[in-house]
Amino acid sequence: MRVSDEGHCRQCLEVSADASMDEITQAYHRLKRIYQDDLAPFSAPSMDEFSEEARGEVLNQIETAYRELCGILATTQPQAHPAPPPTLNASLPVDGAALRKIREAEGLTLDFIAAQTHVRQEYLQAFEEERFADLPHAAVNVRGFLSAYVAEMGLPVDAIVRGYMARYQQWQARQRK
Amino acid sequence: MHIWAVGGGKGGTGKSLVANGLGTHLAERGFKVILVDTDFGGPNQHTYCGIRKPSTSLVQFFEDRKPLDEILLKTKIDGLRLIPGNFNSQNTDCLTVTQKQKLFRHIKNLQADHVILDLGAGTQYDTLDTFLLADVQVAVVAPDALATENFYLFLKNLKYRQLNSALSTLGLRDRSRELWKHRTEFGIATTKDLVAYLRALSAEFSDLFDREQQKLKTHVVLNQVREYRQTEVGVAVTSAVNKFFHIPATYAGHIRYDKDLWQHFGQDTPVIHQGVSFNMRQDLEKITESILKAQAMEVG
Repeated sequence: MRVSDEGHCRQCLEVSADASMDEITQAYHRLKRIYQDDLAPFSAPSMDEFSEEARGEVLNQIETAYRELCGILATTQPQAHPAPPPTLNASLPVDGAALRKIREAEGLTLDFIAAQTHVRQEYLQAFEEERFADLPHAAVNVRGFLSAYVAEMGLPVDAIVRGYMARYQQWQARQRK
Repeated sequence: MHIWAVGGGKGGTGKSLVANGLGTHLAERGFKVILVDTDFGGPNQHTYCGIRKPSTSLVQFFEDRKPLDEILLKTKIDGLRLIPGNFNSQNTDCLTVTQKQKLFRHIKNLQADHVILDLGAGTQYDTLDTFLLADVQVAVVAPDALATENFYLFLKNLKYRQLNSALSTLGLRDRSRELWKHRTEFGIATTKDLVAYLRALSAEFSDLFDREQQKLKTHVVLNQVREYRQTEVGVAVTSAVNKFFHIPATYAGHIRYDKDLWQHFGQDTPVIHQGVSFNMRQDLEKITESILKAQAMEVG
């Protein structure tokens, strides 16, 4: 298949007709990430449709569509500079402010999470504001409460808690000095 | 009236959950909704509705010739009614084609804004046919290799089914079998080649197959999301359906896993209602809205 016009290119990159250059770039990197990895969880290697050849063809189409769109949009949107793609992993480690943002985006209130996890709302708030002094004194409790909070939001517990606890422990070390 | 079908191939991915969630939310939006448990081999939509012992079932429709109106059950959710599945019958899973056709004729005459068909697992012909019959096709997948593989197979078989029905209508079935049998002589390697050959052979087939294919447009729902990063599987699967299977698919969203859900079954209350499994409820609402929006855009 030859990707010829803007509509086709947008369809190939799975973006809407009014998607900006930034959104197009993000979609391009996401699709590349998806189709480059033959061990990706969405893949079904047993099926002919997922052959290396088929994936290669799709990657070519994505590449062509992106190049052409860049060319088309450079004339109509000269100010656009493709931004680096945000990946989910790149946003880790997640700090308190990020947790709060995610919680609010999910439409979850602190008292709801408190009710679900049985962690006091004051602690949840202290987590989000990274007020380490207001957290429980024992690190084991801090870790347990934080894990419950992160799990409740359906986020990867291990990675987030590890990063958060590292900051907490640095703070503890500073307190001891 | 809109007929929705919820399918997806593998068992246990959450087809009944999604069907119920869609129905619940549409009813709360003020629509008249009827859920039909067309999972002939493993009906359980009544349990989602919080009806432990349904007083009626599809058996009465099939065996006693009762009209569907008379086996409709009210649920505890205003505007949501249920036609319970096929139990206490001797032949739960071997209905005849005529019986099924009769059922669908009657479903089309139901008085409701939305009728939601909860399909069984697998890729049996009647499951595929029911899915293709619906105006709103919802396919459920989970973020693991077992579910995705079966999910693709389900969609692939839908296409084969469309191909075969176009061939049967035009009396080309035997011709096509012969072509496939001697495919090397005709330079045919894949189904795609076969279709191209048949298209060149018969313009009538080409038109009919195009029309059949237009009937397949699916909304993808990702269920059982335990970790946030799994949400990308939904986007990826939808993309693969478009790019590898050439089936128009839109991603409707994901549903977070609820480890406590099992506790809500077998009680007298609907499983998905206010106060129970808040995250899941919220996700199901988002998905319903997203599908309604996509459908409206397609019409407009």
